[in-house]
Amino acid sequence: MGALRVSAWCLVIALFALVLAGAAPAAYAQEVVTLRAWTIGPDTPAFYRAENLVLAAERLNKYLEAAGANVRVQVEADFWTETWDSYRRRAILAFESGDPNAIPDIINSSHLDIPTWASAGWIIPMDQYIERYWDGTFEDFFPHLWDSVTFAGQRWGVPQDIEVRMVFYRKDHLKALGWSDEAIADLPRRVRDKEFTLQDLVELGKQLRDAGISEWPIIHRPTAGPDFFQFIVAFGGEYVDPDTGKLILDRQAVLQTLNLFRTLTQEERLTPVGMTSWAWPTVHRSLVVDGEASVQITGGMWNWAEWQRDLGVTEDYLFENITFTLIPAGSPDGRPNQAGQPQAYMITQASRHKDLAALLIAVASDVDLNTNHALQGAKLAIRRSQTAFPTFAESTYLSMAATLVPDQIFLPAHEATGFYNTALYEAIGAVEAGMLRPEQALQELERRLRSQLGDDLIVR
Amino acid sequence: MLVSRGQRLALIALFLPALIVTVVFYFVPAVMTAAMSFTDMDFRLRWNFVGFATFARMFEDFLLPRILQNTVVYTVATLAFFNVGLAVLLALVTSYVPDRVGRVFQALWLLPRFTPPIVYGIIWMWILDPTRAGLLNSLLALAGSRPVNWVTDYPMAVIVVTNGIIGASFGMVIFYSAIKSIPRDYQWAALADGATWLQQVRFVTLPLIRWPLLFVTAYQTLSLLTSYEYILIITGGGPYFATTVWSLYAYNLAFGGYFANYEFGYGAALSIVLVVIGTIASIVYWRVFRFREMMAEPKIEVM
Repeated sequence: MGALRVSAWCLVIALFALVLAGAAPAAYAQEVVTLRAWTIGPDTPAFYRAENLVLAAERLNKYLEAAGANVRVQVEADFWTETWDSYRRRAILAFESGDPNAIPDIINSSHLDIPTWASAGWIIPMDQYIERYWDGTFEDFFPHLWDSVTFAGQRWGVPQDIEVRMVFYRKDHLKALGWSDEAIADLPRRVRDKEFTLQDLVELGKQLRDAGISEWPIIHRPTAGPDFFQFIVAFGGEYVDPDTGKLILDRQAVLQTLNLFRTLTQEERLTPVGMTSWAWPTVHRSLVVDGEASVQITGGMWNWAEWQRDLGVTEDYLFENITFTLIPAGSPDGRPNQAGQPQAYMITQASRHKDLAALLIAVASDVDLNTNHALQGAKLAIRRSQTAFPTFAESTYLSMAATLVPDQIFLPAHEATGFYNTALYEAIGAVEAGMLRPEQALQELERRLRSQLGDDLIVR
Repeated sequence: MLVSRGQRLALIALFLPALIVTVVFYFVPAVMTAAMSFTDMDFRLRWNFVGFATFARMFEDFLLPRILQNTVVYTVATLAFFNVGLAVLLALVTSYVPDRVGRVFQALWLLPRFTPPIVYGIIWMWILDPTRAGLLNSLLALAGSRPVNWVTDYPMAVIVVTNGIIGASFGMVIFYSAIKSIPRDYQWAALADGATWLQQVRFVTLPLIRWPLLFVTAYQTLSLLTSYEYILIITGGGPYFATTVWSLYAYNLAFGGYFANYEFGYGAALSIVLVVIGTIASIVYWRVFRFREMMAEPKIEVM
């Protein structure tokens, strides 16, 4: 019995020692920090907005391991392919809840959300982080992109991508009208030099209609978007006062814009009067696959990737059949242009891991990772060194699209830009449907903007 | 009625879950909406009280008369043609055909009720698509016609029909059971008197389902005043406010647009006006339709 008792005690001591030995590494266990990120396409090829954060976490974890740090990062990245308004609604509801478990650490959205989200206190200024990772990373970004994320003197996000908008034309339809290859190749230059104007575009539409080449010679996007401000600039107007930051209703240029859409729909039937009730897929198919449309006046460079991914066409087919230009000028004082809408990664006020989130964003901005996004999503470079990166430099499409950059305009960083955007689109829709004449639509737009903006609106 | 302490506790325990749900999901939001309507709350979510300013703004809102008109037309038309009119017709037809046929038909008509609104809405968007990809336009194309812009050309009809088809099933079920509960003697008597089918309906069936008719009318009025989800999905309130009803306008002020408008204060004020209108309508229906008589216990009871 005595021997048994002694061995039982030995067993207990051995087990205790084992438990202690097991507990020792546990005391130095790695801390795994989970960062949650919300990103949006809505175009599906833009999925690297989410994927790059996950890849950045893998890269970051290697650095942390090499440095012997006991922290690891895990990323739960969500990629939204529904509409912009549903994404924003989801964000507001989460922000409004104030619950850190409901609010992501990182949120990706348009630079146009910054004024609202920053004023509401939902996102934080990122200047200190931008300075921290400036050397070698953020210094390489194109400087004008930092302007797009600046509001009230601070930078609230890190640019994630930039694109150009454009007018797409079907080359085969132009050829059917007798255009030579040389004439088609020369079109982008003629648009830039104001030799081909919006009036010429309307004439082209009439020729296409009269020749029976396409059912709807000219179509446009069926939802609100920054695109429609391009026409105000094309007609020589302005929508923001650079000195005061106030929004401008340029009556003359907006009226000319509304007149253009009336001509396209009610007068010449070049564009469907119910264009605003079309579905996005129909817009894409009509131009790219069915050839029922010849010109899409509110295209974006990312459409190129969407068409290949969603419609199953090859890039060779697109080069063969589609060309693009700036939005042509509409009046002698107007200028050809295209609107860019940079996307940015932002850090939320509710995040418990702001430092780590900022580091992750810096790594996700690596040249190779962002180039994955540019190639897959058909977007332009955000960093100077990207343009020399082999896979980026090899893309014919990206280098062609990049030629439009010098004529880029941005929408103003103003809390009411979104309202102006929607109200302008609704006015255009009313004119197209024949519900209001352009003068009435302008008058109603002015009343709505005045009521919304008060003294923050300049009417010219 | 005397109840013991134990019974009282049991009653409270039984009553409590319903009470909690009602307070949390109906009473608290209603009070918060009412409070919010006296603020100019925007995206900053600040409770900045501004008195009756949001209500005064309604008198300056030039879109509001158009939206009020839309709301009245939409509610009255959907109610008259579908939620009551078509519902009565469906109930009459299905109660006069053999039971099995009637039930199958009713089950089919009820299908949209069991369909998530977004699916129902998308099906309609496909039916009404303005290009040849749409169902109606592909049928027109077979006949050699050009596509019709259904939503742009007939906006009000679109929202009345799409809401009415789903709305009629509620009345159909209620009227059907009411018709089935009418003693057959009345119909036999009418038949013996040589009444035609229409005369039976006019002089026997309809008077005997008066209470369900009034109830469905009242209930569906309130329901239509506050529902907007199918309109939001199918037309978004457009083109240019042509299908924007009061409740959708309030919703769009808070959450609508390419960028949400975040006008929570004004949106809440509009919702409160809708609550007031709904309350007045209920009182009017209560008095005009004499619901008290329907609810009252019968004065005599036949044993």
